[in-house]
Amino acid sequence: MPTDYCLLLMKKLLTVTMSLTPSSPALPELLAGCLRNQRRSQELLYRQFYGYAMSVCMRYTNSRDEALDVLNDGFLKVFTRLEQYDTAQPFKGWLRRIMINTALDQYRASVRHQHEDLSAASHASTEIADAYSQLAHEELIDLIQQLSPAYRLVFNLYVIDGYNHEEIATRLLISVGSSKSNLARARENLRAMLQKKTNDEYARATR
Amino acid sequence: MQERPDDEAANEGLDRLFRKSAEEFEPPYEPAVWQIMSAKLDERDRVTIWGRVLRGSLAIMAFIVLLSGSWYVYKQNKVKTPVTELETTRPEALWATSGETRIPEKRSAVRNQSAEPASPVVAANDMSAAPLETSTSKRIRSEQPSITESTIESKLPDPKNNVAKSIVSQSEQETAGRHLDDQPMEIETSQRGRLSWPVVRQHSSPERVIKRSNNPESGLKKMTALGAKTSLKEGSGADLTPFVETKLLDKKLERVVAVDRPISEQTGSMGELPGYRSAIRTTTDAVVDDSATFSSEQSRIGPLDALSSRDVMRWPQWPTLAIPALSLPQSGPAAEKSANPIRERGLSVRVVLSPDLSAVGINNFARPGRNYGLLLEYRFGNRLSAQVGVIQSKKIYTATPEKYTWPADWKWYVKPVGVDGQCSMLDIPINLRYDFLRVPTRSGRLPAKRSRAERSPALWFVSGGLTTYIMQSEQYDYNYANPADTRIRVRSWSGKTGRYNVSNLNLSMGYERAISRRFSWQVEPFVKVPLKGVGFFKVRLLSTGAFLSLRYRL
Repeated sequence: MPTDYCLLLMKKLLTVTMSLTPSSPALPELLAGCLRNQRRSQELLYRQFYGYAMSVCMRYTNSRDEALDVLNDGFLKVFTRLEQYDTAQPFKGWLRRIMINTALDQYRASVRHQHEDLSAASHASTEIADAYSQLAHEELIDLIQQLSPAYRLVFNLYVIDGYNHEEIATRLLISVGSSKSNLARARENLRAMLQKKTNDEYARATR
Repeated sequence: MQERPDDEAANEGLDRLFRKSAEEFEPPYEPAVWQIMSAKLDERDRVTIWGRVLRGSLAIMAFIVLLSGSWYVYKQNKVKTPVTELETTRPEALWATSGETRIPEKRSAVRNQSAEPASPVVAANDMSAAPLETSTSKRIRSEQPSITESTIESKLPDPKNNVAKSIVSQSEQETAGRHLDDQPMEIETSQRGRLSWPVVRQHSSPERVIKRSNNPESGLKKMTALGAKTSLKEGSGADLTPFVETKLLDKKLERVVAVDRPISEQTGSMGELPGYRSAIRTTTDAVVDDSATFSSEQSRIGPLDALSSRDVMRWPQWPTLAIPALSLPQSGPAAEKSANPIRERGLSVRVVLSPDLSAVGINNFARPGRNYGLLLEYRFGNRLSAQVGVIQSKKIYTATPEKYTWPADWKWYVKPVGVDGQCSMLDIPINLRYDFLRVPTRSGRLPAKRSRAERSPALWFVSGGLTTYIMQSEQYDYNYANPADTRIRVRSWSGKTGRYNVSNLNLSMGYERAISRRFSWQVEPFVKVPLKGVGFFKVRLLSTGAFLSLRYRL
């Protein structure tokens, strides 16, 4: 286990350094370049924060493609509204907020299109990744993605991004009560999925 | 959900698990993804560009409306102030005169022919009238290029007014020999001239008419006298112009001051023409008036000659006077512009080159002509600059006859089915340019040079303004359905008709890129939208093309 963890850490370090190595200028410089609409700076910024932004977008969507859509829309906002960014604040926080907002916007737009009821949990797909080691982060994210949109958003906002129910209610145009119940059901679903996953693993292991 | 405390703890564990994953999870970067993003950015840039183009062109349109509005008001005022009758009558007078001139010319042509059968270079036209015209035109041209107009007129034998008369005369002409025709023709034309030219007559000195009428001659002789007169003039070379012009100037000095009247005078050719015409007119009038009484032509020629020579003496003074007066209004705005100098803004020179596609209406573009010119450009600030200059332009176009405004007194026996125009002119543009987008240096690749490049980056601009055309030569060829038709009298017209103020609206958009500190090149597709008709036939000429130009920052 500790070796595993070490390995993971090293891998992460490696990716981080790799993402930074290609002539990675300091962030302020990159931002200045982006402000001048220089494509190269934009690319470097995008590359540098792709992973982080993608991890946010993945949680809020049900597939990688959809996440990429949100990500790119979000980055477009980043590039066009960069002058609004207060450099005193951490860039990641700003970026994260933009990504979340973009995801919520997209969700609202999609709801308007496909009058899907917010509360009904079109239930999580039962197919489960069969490769089980220990639940890797990605798999957990995958579980979140399997939640129905209404549950997924509330869960993300409340549990991971730290919004309270009032904020969520106003953001999603739902009542505080339904925010709370959605959260509870999200957890329930996740727990069930986890349970199923481990059961399957167990079943396979014992087979 | 049933047991609260348990739930809390369980939830907390679950939340922590997912929170941790969310924080730690970071998908690796895939370069391919950037392509999508890059395309998206390009798209965005395009959209913003168009947004800006829209805004910029709106601004420019507003400016142009303002400009043309104020110009119009200015012109109106100008017209009202001096010698109102002359001014107002002017436009018709121009055309009227042209119509008139034709006739006299024709007459003279005929006359000349009869008088001097060995007239120079008879054109190979099959029509009987045609050779006559050409000869006259040739001759006249030799004295004065501008007068070539007369060819057209001469081609058209009969004026509208006295249809019956004209028809008669025409038929006469057709049937009888040329020389015989002369007489009826002249009389008729003179009459016509009288009718259509009251105003003109006014400025062409009446005393002279009287004088002439005092010297009576026989109709025929008069004709010949006229011919002789013209030939005399030719002999004296450039005097013809001065003669006429001085007459005009004598009459009304104020006219010179007036703006639109001057168009003709300024360019010379126009002014002379009416004058010349009027002179002829008067003589013809005289003929008509005292058709009964006639005197020897010599007596008549004498005074005329004297007159012209006198005028010649005076001639040099007038043009110098007139031209500055005329050019004043034009130089006004330009001077204003350059007198606006916010230093550190720059002046530059620009050499432009472009094909020219011209048409009357929006289709029928003929083979391309060309434009080349020199522009002076002044930059007021970050985004705005103004330019003036001269562009030599050769426009080739074709159109159906309806698109032309034929002089009212022209009469066709055979209608042409098409007219090809080929004109050389000077295009004097006054434009305002707005740089709506500055593209910073391409990527960060040249950081060291950035400061330089940033001062003259690539940029996109829109430009708008007004153009004044000064005709240098005009050539119109008529196409007939049946070229062999013997009733065809005229096959072409050439000449020049002077200046057309603010005749076209310039609209363009372009891309400019710096080469070095001082040089930059640009591409600028343009369209020149007609505001009014230009040229002898007042065609509304639409031109388009793309200027390729090189700018040198002074």
